[in-house]
Amino acid sequence: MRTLAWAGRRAVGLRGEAATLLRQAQAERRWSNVTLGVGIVIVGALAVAGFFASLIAPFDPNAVDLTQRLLSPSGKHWMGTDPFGRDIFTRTLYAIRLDLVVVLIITYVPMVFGMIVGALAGYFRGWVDAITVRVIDAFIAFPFIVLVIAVVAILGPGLKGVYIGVLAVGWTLYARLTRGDMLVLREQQFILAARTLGYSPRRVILRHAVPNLIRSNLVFSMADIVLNLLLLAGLSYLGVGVQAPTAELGAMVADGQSFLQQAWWVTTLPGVVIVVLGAGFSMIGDSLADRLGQKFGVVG
Amino acid sequence: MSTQAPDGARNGDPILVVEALEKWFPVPRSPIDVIRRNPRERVHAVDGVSLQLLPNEVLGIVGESGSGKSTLARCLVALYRPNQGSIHFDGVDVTEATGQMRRDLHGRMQMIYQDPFTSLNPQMSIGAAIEEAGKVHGREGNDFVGDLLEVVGLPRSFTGRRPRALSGGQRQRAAIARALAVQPEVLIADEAVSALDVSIQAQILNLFAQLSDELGLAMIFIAHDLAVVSHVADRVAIMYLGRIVEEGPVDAVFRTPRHPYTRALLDAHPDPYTLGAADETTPISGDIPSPLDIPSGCRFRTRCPYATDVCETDDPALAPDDGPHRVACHVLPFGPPAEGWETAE
Amino acid sequence: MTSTEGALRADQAETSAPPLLTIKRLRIGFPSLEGIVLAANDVHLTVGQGEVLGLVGESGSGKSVTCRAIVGMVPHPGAVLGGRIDYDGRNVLEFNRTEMRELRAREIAMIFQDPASALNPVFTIGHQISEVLRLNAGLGRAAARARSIELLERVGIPAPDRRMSAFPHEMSGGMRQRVMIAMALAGEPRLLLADEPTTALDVTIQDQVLQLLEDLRRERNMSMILVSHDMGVIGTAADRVAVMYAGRIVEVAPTDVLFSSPDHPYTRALIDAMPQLTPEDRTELRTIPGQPPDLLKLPEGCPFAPRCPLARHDCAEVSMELTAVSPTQLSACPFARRES
Repeated sequence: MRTLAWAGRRAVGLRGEAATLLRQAQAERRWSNVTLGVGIVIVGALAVAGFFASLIAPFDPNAVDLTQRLLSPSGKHWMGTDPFGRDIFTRTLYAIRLDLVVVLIITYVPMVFGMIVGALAGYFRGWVDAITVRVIDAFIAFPFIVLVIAVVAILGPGLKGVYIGVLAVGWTLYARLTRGDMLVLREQQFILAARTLGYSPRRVILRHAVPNLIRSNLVFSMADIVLNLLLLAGLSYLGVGVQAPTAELGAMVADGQSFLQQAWWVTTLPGVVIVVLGAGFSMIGDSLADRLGQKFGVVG
Repeated sequence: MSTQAPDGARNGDPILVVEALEKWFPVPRSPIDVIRRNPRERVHAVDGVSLQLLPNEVLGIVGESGSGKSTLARCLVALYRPNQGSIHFDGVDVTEATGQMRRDLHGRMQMIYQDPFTSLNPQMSIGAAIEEAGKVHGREGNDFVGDLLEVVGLPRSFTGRRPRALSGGQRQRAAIARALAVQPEVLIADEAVSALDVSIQAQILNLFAQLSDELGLAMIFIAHDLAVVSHVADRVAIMYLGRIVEEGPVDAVFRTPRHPYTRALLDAHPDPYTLGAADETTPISGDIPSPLDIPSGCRFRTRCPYATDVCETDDPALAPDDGPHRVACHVLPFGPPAEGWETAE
Repeated sequence: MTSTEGALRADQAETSAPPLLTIKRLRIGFPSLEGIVLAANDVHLTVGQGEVLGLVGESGSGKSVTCRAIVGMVPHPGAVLGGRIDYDGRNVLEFNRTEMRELRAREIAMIFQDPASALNPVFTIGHQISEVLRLNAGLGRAAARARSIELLERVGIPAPDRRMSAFPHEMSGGMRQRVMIAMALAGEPRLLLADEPTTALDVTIQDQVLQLLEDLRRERNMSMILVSHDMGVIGTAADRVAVMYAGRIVEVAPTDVLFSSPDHPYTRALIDAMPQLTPEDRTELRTIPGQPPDLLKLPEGCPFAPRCPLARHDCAEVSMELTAVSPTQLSACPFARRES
């Protein structure tokens, strides 16, 4: 607080150009704060709505009522009803909850696994590293989504397939990122120092290296969340993800597509929610990347 | 296996004995090298170094880039495994030890690194770093943390601070406190003051001198700056391309250098007070040869103004010249000091 | 104000010719979230024809930034906030882009600390020198090649015609710095800015490069600003020395005067803190207490006061104007002389 007040006083005493420089730096920071704030509000609001779905939602998400088919948005059905007469608003709330949970799992479980593999490979090098790199390269050489679909096809459709499929493929990007960081980090003097202090490899990696590797992984994961959200919706849309009748945003988009002419809301409104949720995550990710990226920095 | 130190006048047996140590690194081969069956190349970073360190002694090691001084230090603290030769610490062969025993042995030798900005974990408070080091080596409680901060001249209140909140000199003090938490018998400082500003460098040099006096630590002090070494070391070894070329008491080596390379280093040292005098000697020409391609015979001969035919064929051994003052040179162009080094100036 | 003008005149008195470069009241600021950091604060400097001015200070003292401001290369996001830099009678701060390019091409050259990153790794040495010659001196391909070889030979590169086709990574640090010097010489500059030119080099190589710079300066009557943190390098290579602390010039004096009778307490402390090669006795080094200054939290008045052995209550009112101690020596401390 004191430094800020002091800085203000000092800036007044300086010529116009200095004040402009200061304003620019502050404006950049402020803009980043605004983006972060808006992102958190969007994701936060949707998350709260989703997690209290059972309290908020006016209807049962899976109650079929063929007399209420394809009703347009109204005071009773805020987002209208779908071809089975289910309330879309209710289903959207439940779908948000499901999507958020699944997306967090398929982002952060692979992240943790990938970090461990990457850290071990980068730290020990030698044959551990050689094998890891080959495996990673092999995975990355295939298109991500095709691999996931292949895994899902083997295991059969459903969430289990999504979890296993994404974990099997998703860890590779984190492992590659972490391995690269670790190669740099292991030559950093505080890692050398930890080794010369007689610490066991376990301690050196877990206590000293990993906390310094988390930052870049978190930044990367923020972008990954958005991709995974779209991936989950995409798989469900294709019919290999979440199975009917469970409400899922991508599946809901698919539900309405043959009625696009008569009932636009069935497809469009869940689609808009996907876009808004994705945008919210992107905003948080971008401004966090700005912030963490600056200090990304044991290394830099 | 404990060998009597050549200058056995000092107290007791050496705590550290390095014999004929070699460390080389393979040069990565490209596929073309493999196809052409080019010979595997090696960088000889340390190429036959023997030295001894007495308890309570400060040994300075001076060398330019490529001299192998840092590789030597890393072999001593087991970051590298030497390819040849032995390191005996307190009578035990360090290179043979494995696992926990190896880690314990090396706990007794601690290293201080060059860059205080990266030698501390940015995510840990300095108190936690010091405490961890002590705990791993079996110290109880955490009273020692504050005591150690005081030993290195930091206020006790710094315990909770992150390295980011410390200046360069303060971080180097914290790094020293962390090394001391292990209660080492030997401290190895690898360019420990060269990243610091002059005013801070002097503070840290004084701290090292104080630690060696008050705690009786044996120390190996590695630096490229001769004046810095001259301030803390009792004995000094000059390294060139992986070898020790001259070794002896600091005053003897710096006032009456016998090896042409030592002489050249001293002449090249920019010292505003020897203005004029320094300009009379011609600087040695040429670059330091690549450690990939070490010259035959004496490795300094390519830059030595006194080199003769024998220098090209015979590799000079580090031979006693004047008691504890040893030098590896066939020519010895500067003549033996007539009445000892005091009067040679 | 008048005292400084008088001091500047005194400063110039030793050389009859007008100085090649005069910096007055230069202020350079960097914005940060906590406010503007003044990296250079009311800096006054003169560089005479054929003179080597040493600019010495610890990290963060503002020596490099000051040097770079002369060629309009203050690193982003910093900016010159005030003052003037007169080169050969014209204020370079008012130069437009073309004039500035012209100045860099023909008048003022610069060499940096790290010759490894100052050369482009994908082009040969010969290509890079010839390019400078063809662009700045308007030479044709063949003439540029011939001149490049000449320059490489002049800076002491063995077998220069063969070295023309070498890439930077095939050369040692010392050789790369020689190549940088050759490139700097291509425009026949009258002023060379050398920013820590030997800091990354080994002692024996440093000695060679300093010797080369000295020879070139004599042979071409070139002026030079030598920026360094190393009092030893400054002491051997500079004619006159300006000492910087926390963005301020605290003392200017001819090299021998500076080392034999420093006036400002900071200069004295800096000299005392230098380890000696063969000290008379190996007692404790004299140190400067405390930590380097935080440019955002400088005290009023003299920035060195918190670490100064001579500090007194009125240090907060010191104006930091340079005043003449003798006809050639200027100091910002009004108290040091009286104390001693």
